Amino acid sequence: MTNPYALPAVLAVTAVTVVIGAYGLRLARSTSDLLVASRTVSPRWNAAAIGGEYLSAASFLGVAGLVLKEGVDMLWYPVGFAAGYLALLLFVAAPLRRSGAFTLPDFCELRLGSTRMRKLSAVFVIFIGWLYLVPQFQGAGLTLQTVTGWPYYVGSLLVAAVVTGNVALGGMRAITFVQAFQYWLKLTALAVPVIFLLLHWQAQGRPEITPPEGDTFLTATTVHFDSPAVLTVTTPTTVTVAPSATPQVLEPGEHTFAAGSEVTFPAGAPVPHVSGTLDAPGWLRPGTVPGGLFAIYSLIFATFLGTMGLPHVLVRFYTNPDGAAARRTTLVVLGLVGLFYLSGAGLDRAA
Amino acid sequence: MTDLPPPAPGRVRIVLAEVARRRRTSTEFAEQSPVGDALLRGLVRTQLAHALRFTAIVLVGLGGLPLLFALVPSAATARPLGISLPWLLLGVASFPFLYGVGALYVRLAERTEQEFTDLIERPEQ
Repeated sequence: MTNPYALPAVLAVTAVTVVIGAYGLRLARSTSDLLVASRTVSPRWNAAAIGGEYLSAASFLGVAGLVLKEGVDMLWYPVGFAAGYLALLLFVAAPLRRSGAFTLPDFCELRLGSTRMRKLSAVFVIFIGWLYLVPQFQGAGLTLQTVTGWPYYVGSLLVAAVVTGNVALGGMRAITFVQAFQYWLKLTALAVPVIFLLLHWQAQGRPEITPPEGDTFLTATTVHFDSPAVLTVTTPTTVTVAPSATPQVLEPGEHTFAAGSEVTFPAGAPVPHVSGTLDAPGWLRPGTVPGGLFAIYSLIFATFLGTMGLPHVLVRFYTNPDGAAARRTTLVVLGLVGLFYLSGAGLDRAA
Repeated sequence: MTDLPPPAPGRVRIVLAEVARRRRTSTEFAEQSPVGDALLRGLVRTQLAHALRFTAIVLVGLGGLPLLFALVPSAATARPLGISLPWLLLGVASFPFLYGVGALYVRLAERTEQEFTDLIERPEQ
């Protein structure tokens, strides 16, 4: 609606995805082609593909939002996501590939010699798949609705059609190319703002990144409230609230603003924080998350071990030629995921 | 009359579970002698020992951080380079650390496998 480049960008990414899928289609001939790209995917391609499917909007916006709301403790999410790949590398990658299985249920049956385990594992794979599918469809619907104003279901249908077409016709090789392309696209989308923010920071004479007394407005700033908010002000601040032009003083305490309000803060005023989030010195300190150490260690435990249980990640290791390649793939993923979250952390702080 | 092209092969029904089961029998004959079996078990145990050791390094190195920040409040508020220490350690240092541990493990695992292959292929004297 507001950004004229949004729709062309969405269309371009969709078109590239379809074209890459069509290219993969020419190569898919046998069962092995379709399921595991005939086990010929190099560690570098496979790692980019894993990174592409692993890093999503959750990593982009979710982690930044969590850090803003809950503080530095939330950085354990990206650290845990990356560390999960180390656990995968140490204990799973090579043995999983050597088993010669096609899918996770295959692997269960091979190792445990039980068809019932195979069925149970298949149920889990489908269940986890649903957990991913439903938010993806909602995300696609919302995105296209926001960008074009089309009905909600168009985005979901479009994504379902493109992905089903690619998978059914091109198989694992097409998916590999598409996902690898998407990793580099996502990294670019994250790195470009970071680079510009760094340039801007440099141009401002490199102000202190985390001032102990909290952030202040550098220039007079008008804040527009899209939704109602409660701001906590700590020092008396003179502001103007549209449509009135006369300045008024916000005394320390909580102030409620309705949706649609416009408030102009003068240069040098301390930035008030939104109630329900942490104040500026608070979110720099660790240990602020509710639940304390127990919550942090639960988070570490869950994220460090959680990656090993993601069927869509594990199935990619079957596309490597051998166990050693699977190991090297995991190492490259560790590097790519680290690179992504490193720029993400930079963006968090700059934002 | 020209030769007709050979008839196209008919459709083949492929059941994945059967494919996997067939593969199993073909891969299981690999190590049959007791000596080979013992060697293979040794290799697996060495790799597992390496993996456990690296896990311990990460558990102490990263897992110790929340405890450190909780027990030593000055570490949580320290500001080397003008950036608070928790941000520097979690947001920046943890990723190269994890990659470094992974790289070391891959090197060690590949060397172990190479030594195993050398041992197997060494001619009897």
